[in-house]
Amino acid sequence: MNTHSCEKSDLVRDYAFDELAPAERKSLEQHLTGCSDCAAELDRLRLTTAVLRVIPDQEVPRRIAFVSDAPPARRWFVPNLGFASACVLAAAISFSAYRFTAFSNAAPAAPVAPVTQTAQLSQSQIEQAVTKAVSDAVAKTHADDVQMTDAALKAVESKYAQQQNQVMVAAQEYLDLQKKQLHTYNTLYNSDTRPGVSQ
Amino acid sequence: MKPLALITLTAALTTIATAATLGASTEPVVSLSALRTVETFTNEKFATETIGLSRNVSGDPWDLVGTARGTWLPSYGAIFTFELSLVTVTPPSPFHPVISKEEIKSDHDRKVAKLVVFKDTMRDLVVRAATSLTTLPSDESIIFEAYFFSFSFEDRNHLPRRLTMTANRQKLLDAVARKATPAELAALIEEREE
Repeated sequence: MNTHSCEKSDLVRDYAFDELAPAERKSLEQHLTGCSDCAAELDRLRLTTAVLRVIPDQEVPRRIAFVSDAPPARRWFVPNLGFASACVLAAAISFSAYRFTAFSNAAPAAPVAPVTQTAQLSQSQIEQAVTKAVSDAVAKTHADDVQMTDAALKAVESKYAQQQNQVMVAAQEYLDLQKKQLHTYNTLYNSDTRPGVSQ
Repeated sequence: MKPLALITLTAALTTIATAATLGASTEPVVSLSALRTVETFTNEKFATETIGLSRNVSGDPWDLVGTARGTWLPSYGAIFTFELSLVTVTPPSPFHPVISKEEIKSDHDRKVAKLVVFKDTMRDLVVRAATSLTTLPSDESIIFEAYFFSFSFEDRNHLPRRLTMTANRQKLLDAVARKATPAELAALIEEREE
């Protein structure tokens, strides 16, 4: 990136890539001794060049072949629809050419501009319709994702809350149990009704 | 004058005698000490497993939650009530928040199996109380009532919350005298589960 403001910065780049004439080269070398910005720029360019030289060159493939699946076995008893379509298309083109020639001879040519305008308008409408359809589809997908995420999140939260509630209820019950047990132990060991103590 | 003095003296003596009669404390037919004896051996029976006093603790001890307390209701009988958990159950905690169905089923199965043992033990206590409460009128009853503790997450199917055993003292004494079998004694004890 060229960040300095010296007017000879373009010459520095050409110098780095050895694209200067000998006279220009000599002149720039003199300039480099006095301009620190250009000298720094030259160092950066040399570093970049060195890095690029380290990267191995990739051999460009001489030939690329696309291999499709094997065509299905030809069955001769099936009508050749491709050939028939070609024939129909050729007939239609010939007929249209004939009609166009006859129409041209019979009447002056229709203005082209409205047709072109109609075609452009149709193209514009198509683009708008496609853009709108894509936007709608993206919006619907996004809405579906948000809805599914919300539903999943609510399910997880509900399950977690249920677990927490169960733990809290059990903790309260366990606390009550501990109180009762403590009272039981106190009763047994701090009174004359404890086991093993005869009256 | 003499008759008046005689009447006055008689009234004073009567007042003193009445006061002496009212102030005298009479021992209940079933004394508190007798009730305490039954409470003690009942607690000992269930608390030994809980606290580990007995060396013959089974592998799945019950847990005495509330000690036995007894009372006597004249012309009805002696009633003893206590609370326990048939087995110890581990509740959920932040480190083990969800009790699995397998764990709940395991706890339930352990309690159902322990209930059978508990009933035998409780019948023995009823018979023992009948022989211990010597001052209890023989036509009155011995009642033992157990409340079972359980957590709300447990499966309580086929498990009572309360078990009551009632028996006529005289019938029990007669059965003990003729050395009745445990099955014959059990037939004399009415059980009620709720």
